[in-house]
Amino acid sequence: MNGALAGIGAAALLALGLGFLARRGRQMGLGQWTVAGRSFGATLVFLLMAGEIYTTFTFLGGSGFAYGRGGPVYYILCYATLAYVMSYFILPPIWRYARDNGLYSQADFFAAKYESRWLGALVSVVGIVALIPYLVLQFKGLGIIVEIAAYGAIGATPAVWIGAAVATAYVMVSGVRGSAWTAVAKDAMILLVVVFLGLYFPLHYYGGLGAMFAAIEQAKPGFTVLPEHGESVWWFSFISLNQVITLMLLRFFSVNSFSKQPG
Amino acid sequence: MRMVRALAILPFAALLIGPFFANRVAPVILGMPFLLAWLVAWIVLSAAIMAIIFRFDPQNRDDPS
Repeated sequence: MNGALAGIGAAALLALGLGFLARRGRQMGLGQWTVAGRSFGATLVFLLMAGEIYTTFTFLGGSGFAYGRGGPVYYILCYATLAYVMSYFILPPIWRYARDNGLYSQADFFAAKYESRWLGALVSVVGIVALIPYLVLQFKGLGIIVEIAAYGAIGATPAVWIGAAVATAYVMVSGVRGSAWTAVAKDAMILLVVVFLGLYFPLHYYGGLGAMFAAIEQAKPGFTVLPEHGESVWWFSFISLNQVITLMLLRFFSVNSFSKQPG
Repeated sequence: MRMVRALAILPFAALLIGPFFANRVAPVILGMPFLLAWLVAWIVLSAAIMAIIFRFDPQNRDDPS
């Protein structure tokens, strides 16, 4: 038993507790379970949309990419920003249509808009199939993080099972309210850790952000910008634009649906 | 005033086309390589631009809910 293990246990219990408590005082009909009666205010939706971009990728993929490849990792900054810009134009009309027609899911939207139940079913199936590799990646990342953080006291495989069981439990009980409130806790914690480490490491090891970039430039000239070949500017722009569409369709589409106001 | 929405082209131009001209390390701004400084500056500007659009776009006045 060590301190890290206690911390991980506390985080899992916090998620479970928040997830269950989120249900309190509500009759759980389908409308509450899926879109919380479209009752979430602007602040909560803001937190959820901001938090959508923080996942295990923040700790593993993003930092690994930055360490291994340097400059091209800036694409994350671009696509996230542009996806929020684009959402201003696309989400409000979808939200209004969904409210007026009493729709709950992305599949509902396509089924109603194009008057085809088959299209709705197809969207459901494609959505689920597309989520599987995404979930596998996220759980794989969770397993690695927990195993390392617990100094091997919990293996990656049990960590994945515990994580999946906790998430499934609170989503079944509290629906979107459960994932919303655990997401708020997750986002706050990740943000604290990321901001702290992002400032602490450069300060501690180099004496400042500028000094760190100067040291990188000296060790590997041009590493902090885009290379001439390979992950060049063309790659950068294309990948950024590509990711905008992905983020819009897969994630914001659903976050938008439980908002009280359009967008 | 719906034309104000056209301002949203600026973030796309700055972040997707801008790097073709801003892909340099020097000059270093606030400790950041120029490309990173350019992107960060435009992220902040994008927020400002969206605030302006939100304020003047008639779409945001006619919704009763």
